[in-house]
Amino acid sequence: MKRRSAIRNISAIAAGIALFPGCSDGLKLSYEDGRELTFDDNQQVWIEAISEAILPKKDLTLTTFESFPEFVTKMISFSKSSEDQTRFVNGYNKCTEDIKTIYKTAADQVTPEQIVSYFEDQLKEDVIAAEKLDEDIIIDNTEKKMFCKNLRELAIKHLTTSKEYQEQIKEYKLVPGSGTFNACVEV
Amino acid sequence: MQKSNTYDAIVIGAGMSGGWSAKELCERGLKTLQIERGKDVKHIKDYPTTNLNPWEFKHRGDISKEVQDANPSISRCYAFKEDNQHFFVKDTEHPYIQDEPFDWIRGYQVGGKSLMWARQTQRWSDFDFQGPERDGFAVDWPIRYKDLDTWYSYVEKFAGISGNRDGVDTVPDGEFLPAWELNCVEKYFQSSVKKNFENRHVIYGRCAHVTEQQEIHKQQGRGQCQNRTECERGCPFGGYFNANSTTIPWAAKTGNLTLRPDAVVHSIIYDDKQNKATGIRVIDAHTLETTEYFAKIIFINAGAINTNLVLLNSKSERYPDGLGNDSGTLGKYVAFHNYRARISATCEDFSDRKTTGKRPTSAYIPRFRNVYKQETEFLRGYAAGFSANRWGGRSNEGIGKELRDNLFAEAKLGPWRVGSHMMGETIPKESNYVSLDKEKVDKWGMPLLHISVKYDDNDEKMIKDFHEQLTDMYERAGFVDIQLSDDHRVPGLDIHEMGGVRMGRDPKTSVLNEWHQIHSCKNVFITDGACMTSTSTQNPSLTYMAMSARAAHYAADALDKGLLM
Ligand SMILES: Cc1cc2nc3c(=O)[nH]c(=O)nc-3n(C[C@H](O)[C@H](O)[C@H](O)COP(=O)(O)OP(=O)(O)OC[C@H]3O[C@@H](n4cnc5c(N)ncnc54)[C@H](O)[C@@H]3O)c2cc1C
Ligand code: SF4
Repeated sequence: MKRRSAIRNISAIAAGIALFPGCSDGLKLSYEDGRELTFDDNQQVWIEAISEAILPKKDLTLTTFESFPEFVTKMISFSKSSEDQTRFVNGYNKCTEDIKTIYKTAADQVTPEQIVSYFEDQLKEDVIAAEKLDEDIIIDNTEKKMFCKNLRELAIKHLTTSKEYQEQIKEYKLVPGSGTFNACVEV
Repeated sequence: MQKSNTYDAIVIGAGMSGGWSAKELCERGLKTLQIERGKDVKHIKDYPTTNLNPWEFKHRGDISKEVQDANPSISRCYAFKEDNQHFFVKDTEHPYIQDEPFDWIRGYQVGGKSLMWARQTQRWSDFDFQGPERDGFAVDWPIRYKDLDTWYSYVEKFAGISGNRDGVDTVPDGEFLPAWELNCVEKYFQSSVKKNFENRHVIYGRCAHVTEQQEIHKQQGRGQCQNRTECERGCPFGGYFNANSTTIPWAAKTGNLTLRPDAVVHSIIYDDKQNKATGIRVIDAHTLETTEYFAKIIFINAGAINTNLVLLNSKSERYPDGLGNDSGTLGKYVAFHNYRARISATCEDFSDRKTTGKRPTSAYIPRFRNVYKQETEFLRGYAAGFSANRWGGRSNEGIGKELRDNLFAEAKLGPWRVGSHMMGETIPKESNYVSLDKEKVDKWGMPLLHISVKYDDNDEKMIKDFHEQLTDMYERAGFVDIQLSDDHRVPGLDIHEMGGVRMGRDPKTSVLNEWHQIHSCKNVFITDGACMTSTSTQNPSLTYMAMSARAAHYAADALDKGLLM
């Protein structure tokens, strides 16, 4: 098999592989073209573990619109094309499979260090020229990289748009007040 | 029926210019019907996002891929974001035909685009009004700066314009509220330009913000600007000028205004026997039912291109090619502002200085090319913005603990970054036009509009000159790492489209006279961007406001004298 068809991937996922479950109803990823995937059970643990490893924030109180897995599902549904949504989901599945295989471990036992180490590898630039690789490997790599990159970006966005981060770190005020602009102050 | 649908005056459009027409006509005691195709937007009450914090936005400010893909034109507008997307017209909901690529940015609601505008308000000068005559393009404006001077003052006092009296003849001084201060790099650039160049200036960008509340603003219920810089959502303090907080409620207070939102003006009714327009045909935006309204005078303020559409669609035996189109110029000589070019650089000095807080404007470089004499191969010139900012940033490098430490580290101030964007005058040409499709109509039965507007060689030469001249100005100021760009944006994204119903002295070559009346149908007035004979380099809305106020008073005077009956 040279090229994987997006359709096949989607049906494979729909048939069983699931992402970001957790809440009893599961989390839905709506495709741009109207299709929807519901992510159920066991992989909630993965996404929590991955998110915490990429950007540890368990110890922080953060007021956000939604939990991180919900945020990821929402933003991927919202801001990506159907193709990229499919790539993201495929990337997710491949990355979690990789981690399981490499570290011979289950979701609830994987350590943050292991995930960080895996993500660091994935986020590195390609060392081997892409054209020398088998097309399937290129697709695999692209999907995995895309997943890791997107997830990292979303983790940053989720944290930095929280109330606490905005107010305490970025000193955000909705109404700064007249006279609060200073054109020139000493650093 | 006719009686109950009859008014003294009708104003089509409740945006920036229509708000002024309605206010003035109502204040002069005329029972005025203001017709608006979009929904009503009440000041504050209908600004749904105005008090939301960043973490309260479901998508953190982003617009969905689906909406972006379906609406490529508005998605290219810098101001179209999650917090104010409800004020923008979706490309898909109101289609038009791009014979040449044109990003048409619209706001269909009470308030029009005055809700989302960037509030820059520089006066035009005689270098603009005399331009076509001096440089031999378009036709001579039938008015000069002296005709507008007092009307500029009149609208500035009411709207609240902050600025400095700079004494620069290309952008005459006005009635200003206090200006925000330029920062140290902006001031430094101002003095560098003054020292190194004759007749070039860097001034504060005058803007429609109440920086000091006057009695008139109190009466309007508007407070002082609180430096939020979230203006495009609608301001709960009324800190910036829009029609919703200012002109329309003021008109309503007279008891003479009937505001009818959700009503699409289809065409003007022209009576061949009486030789004048008698009213308008209106389609209900929801039920699609047609109603006719009648008045002695009609002001069209539908926004430049829509005003063209209404007139082109107003066909009668007398005017088979659109109301007032004896000259054959209706729909033609459309022009805009060329915003394609940018320059940015780093200022290595002032590393011990920074700004704090926010300010909703920046500096402005008035036009300096071809002002006193023709000095380049291209006609006319460009103005430019200028801003200097120093961002405090945190690295988002790394992963795991490293990433978290970076995000929580003390912000590191970067260098001062400076930048300018070009605002170039384009030359109105017959070949830049809008026209009606012969078959296709929209949901409201209005013919689809063809837009055929493009850049020309003059614009390309101007871009090159902007890059060269600004580079020179930046280099002499010692700025480094200079980067030039041309984003090749298509016309329209400047949101300063003008013309198609131009003013002129000669009915053979123009549609409107010096009082904005259709030459051959004097009870119809056009005071939005459609009337503009040329485009100048300055943002145009302040000029539309002054023109609307002036024409409305002229119309009211004429009615008082028994003319236009
Ligand atoms: C993001 C942005 C930034 C801008 N920045 C600036 C700036 O800094 N300075 C500046 O000078 N200008 C700026 N502008 C442009 C400015 O908003 C316009 O010049 C101004 O609003 C034009 O006024 P108008 O009355 O002609 O049109 P609008 O304000 O658009 O009002 C026209 C009204 O007519 C209605 N209408 C249209 N067709 C019909 C019909 N057939 N029947 C009934 N009603 C109809 C529309 O729904 C609309 O409400 C900006 C615009 C935007 C969007
Ligand atoms: S900057 Fe001023 S006008 Fe704009 S939103 Fe803030 S307070 Fe209102």
